[in-house]
Amino acid sequence: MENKLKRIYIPMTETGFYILFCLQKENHGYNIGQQVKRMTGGELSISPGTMYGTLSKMEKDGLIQFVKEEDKRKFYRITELGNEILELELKRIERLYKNSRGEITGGIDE
Amino acid sequence: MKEDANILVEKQKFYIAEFEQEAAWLSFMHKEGWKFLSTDGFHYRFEAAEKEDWCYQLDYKQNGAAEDDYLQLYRDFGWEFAGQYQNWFYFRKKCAEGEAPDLSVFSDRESRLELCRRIINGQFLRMLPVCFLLMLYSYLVFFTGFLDLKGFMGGLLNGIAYGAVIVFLFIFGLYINQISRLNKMMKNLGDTK
Repeated sequence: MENKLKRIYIPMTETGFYILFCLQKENHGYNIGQQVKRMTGGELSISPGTMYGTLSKMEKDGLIQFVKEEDKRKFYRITELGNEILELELKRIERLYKNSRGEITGGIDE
Repeated sequence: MKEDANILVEKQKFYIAEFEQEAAWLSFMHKEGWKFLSTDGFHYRFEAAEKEDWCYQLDYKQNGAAEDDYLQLYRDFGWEFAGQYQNWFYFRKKCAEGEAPDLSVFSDRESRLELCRRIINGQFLRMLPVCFLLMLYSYLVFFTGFLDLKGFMGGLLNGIAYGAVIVFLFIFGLYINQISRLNKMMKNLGDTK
């Protein structure tokens, strides 16, 4: 994988992460927004400019691909490259979580 | 041409770093009973409407094309497409009861930074050919003498070349000024790149 993409996408913004995560199944912009709202109990609300910008950028960088257009709505799905990046990001978040819970020993000297 | 009493044309200029002020002004006009119809960058056309709270927002689209999926996405989120001028897209949404008219179409820092970057790059590309032609013309007249005409024609061509340099400096100065304002906005957003 290109290091440049890693630098851009890891760590990911919360919005970017949820969008990429949702695109493990094909989906379109508005639906992704609704799904993210449900997943976060309404706390994370993605606006259309942000949604469009993120989708365009991820498509350009090859993290997601265009699948089909239905009723003027573009459907996307994650690519191989997108999965690799998501995987790396998930590992990072998991480590972060474990460390924050003190589940990994050898971190802070006591 | 006879102006319709229901149509209002206002002279107003907003530069590229003033899209937030522009949006706020359009919201203000709507609250005054004038609904935005279109703009050519210097004039704004309005039509008489109910005095209501509407939120206006601008987006800068890289390719400047009013693609179906783009407008549909905004529509899905409840934003009405209100107009387009070059790469700028105007959207509006009616404020819910008691809601402040400052809803944004950008919900996170990164996408606001991305908007500023799109504007800077996009306007640079728009400006490039004009400035290139102005400079090329001045260069030819001043340094190569390829239009070495005497008398009135020579004076005219020289005059135009001087004018071109001044226009170039003006456009360039304006661009630098606006870019520095955008950069300041980006700094305030915490851009580290």
